[in-house]
Amino acid sequence: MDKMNISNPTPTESHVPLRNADFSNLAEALDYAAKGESGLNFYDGRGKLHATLPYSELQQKARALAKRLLGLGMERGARVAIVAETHPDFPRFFFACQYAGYTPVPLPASIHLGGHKAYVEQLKGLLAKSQATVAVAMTEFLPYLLEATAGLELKLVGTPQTFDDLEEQSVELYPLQAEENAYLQYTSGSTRFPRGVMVSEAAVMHNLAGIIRDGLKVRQGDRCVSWLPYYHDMGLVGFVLAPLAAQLSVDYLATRDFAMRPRLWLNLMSNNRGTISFGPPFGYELSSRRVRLNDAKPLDLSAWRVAGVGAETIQIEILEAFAEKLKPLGFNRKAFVASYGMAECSLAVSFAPIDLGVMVDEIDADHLSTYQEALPVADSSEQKSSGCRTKKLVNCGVPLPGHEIVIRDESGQTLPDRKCGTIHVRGPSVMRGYFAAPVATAKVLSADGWLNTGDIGYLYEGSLMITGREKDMIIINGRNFWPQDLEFYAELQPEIRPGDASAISVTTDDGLETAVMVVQYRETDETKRNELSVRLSRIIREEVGINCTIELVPAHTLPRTSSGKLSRAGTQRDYLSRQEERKQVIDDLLFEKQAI
Amino acid sequence: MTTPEYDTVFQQVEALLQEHAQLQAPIKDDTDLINDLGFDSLKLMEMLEEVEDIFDITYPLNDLSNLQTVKDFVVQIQQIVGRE
Repeated sequence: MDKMNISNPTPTESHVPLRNADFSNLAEALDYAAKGESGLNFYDGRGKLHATLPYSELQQKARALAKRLLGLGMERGARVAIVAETHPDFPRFFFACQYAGYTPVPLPASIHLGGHKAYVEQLKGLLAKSQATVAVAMTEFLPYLLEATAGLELKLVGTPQTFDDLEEQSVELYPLQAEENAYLQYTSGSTRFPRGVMVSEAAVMHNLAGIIRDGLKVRQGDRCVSWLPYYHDMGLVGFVLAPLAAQLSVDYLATRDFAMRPRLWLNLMSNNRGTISFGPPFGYELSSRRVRLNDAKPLDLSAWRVAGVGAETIQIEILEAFAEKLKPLGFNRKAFVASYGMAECSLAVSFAPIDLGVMVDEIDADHLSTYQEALPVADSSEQKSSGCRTKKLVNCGVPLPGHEIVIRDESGQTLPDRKCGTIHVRGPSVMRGYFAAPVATAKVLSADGWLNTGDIGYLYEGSLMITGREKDMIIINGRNFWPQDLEFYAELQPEIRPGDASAISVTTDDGLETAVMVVQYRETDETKRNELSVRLSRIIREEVGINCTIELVPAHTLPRTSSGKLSRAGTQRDYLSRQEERKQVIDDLLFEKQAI
Repeated sequence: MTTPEYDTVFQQVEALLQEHAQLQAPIKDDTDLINDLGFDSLKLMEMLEEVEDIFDITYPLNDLSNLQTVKDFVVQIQQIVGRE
């Protein structure tokens, strides 16, 4: 026999009857999955299988670890912070917490170019906010965790081995129950003001049942493939908890390995006959841009029946390009399933129907921006031929059973079909609130259970269309940034006063988003102006890790709301119209030249 | 494997950096990857695919976080090749 290679992933067929998350808690879901043969598989950066973890083994190892954790004498519900690398130790620690009655807190395992300091600060903030009692990181991440925990009083910080060295207690396990927190999910929002979503066992089980039974209509023979990080709701709930609650095998690729070699994702789908995979639009964009079709081995993507899309507003062009490019490999564009969700609702709120592909509502864009109303444009209509601007919005489907969506205006009035407003959601998968943050909770969650998502959209015959996502959020390559975090660095500059900078995101001609910060600056000296622009974009690249265009404008340019706050929607509108004017000027100049 | 010469690695890296950089700048030891060449994590990942193939190494994700200049990058690659 050859080397010590692990050659076989867990089988697609579990050989136990499929149950759709009809369990009272996550521990019970694992106990059932453990009766079958399916489980989790981990592939490395070259696409080779490096570890398998059948659910039976996960159950046994998680239970053993739970009994070790109990020896630490932590109170029930104590937070166990886990740096969430795509590695078998993550599900092991996560489920040890389920069995022992502790709350797992997945921490980001994402490192950016030159981002050592920023990452340590982020970990530190999350450990403090979640009031973690212990924290664990795989060897690679331990140095960062140790730096972050210096000065914090944690009971134990270490690698998985540190915890495996604890003595196993001979005690009965009493897993987390329906009304206890299943985990704390830190939203990918502000790094300076993170919010920990408390999801109860009952809520997450409800959401999982909705995803499996109603959204994806999971059947025997399904197999999941994922490169999504475990510290994001879609990676954790969608591709750790949902497959487990439906006894499906999953093939994992670390996010960084996907980013480096997007083809590995498609290889896995092809080799293992994957049927379900999800990604944000940026994942599809990266794949269609970087995968070369004439690479050595032909792929067969014909088994892929659910290509889920979520996490950002969905640009239809990106999906069309992906489908067109991969059609020769058997990819069926009808596999696209648009969805809408957020950590505050466990994960999923609505799914478009499967097997139909992306459905769009083509509307009059000018009417939408002027009247906040989405008027449909028929294909051959006069409006279209007369040149009105149209916009294709993706239909995100109807809410999961038991959930309701209403659209409200600023005064809280419910709006009729096709009128745009803030999306509110109510139902059994909604969070209990933000951890240790009653004020932030009260801002988004009403006493009668309505969650204000902050996203903007409209309903049409029960289906949801999103026109703008969470207010002001800037999303670059699948990472979310709050404008406040960018503005913070501008305001640290001696020349810039608070309120003089407004960060927004702008969609470029190729459909991708880019960050822009408009800054009020009185100085007219070109050298000084230039120096400030260069300095600011350098600081943002270093501290935040993204490229940000800086536009300097005269004082009193930034639009404000009636209450005097910065209006980012206004900043965006004004910026775009200045850009248009500039283009016009350039066009005119070019035209003049030609005329000469 | 024996650690390759600094200059040898530099020459190979130089060509890759020129191909993938977002900003035009002369590539010297102290050229800053983010500020002078306009890299972000994702752009660098694209280049790392080629770096891994050319040097037949696995670049540890963590090394990214302490990367600032061209020299840092060349030295990291030398060390990884030497280790593997």
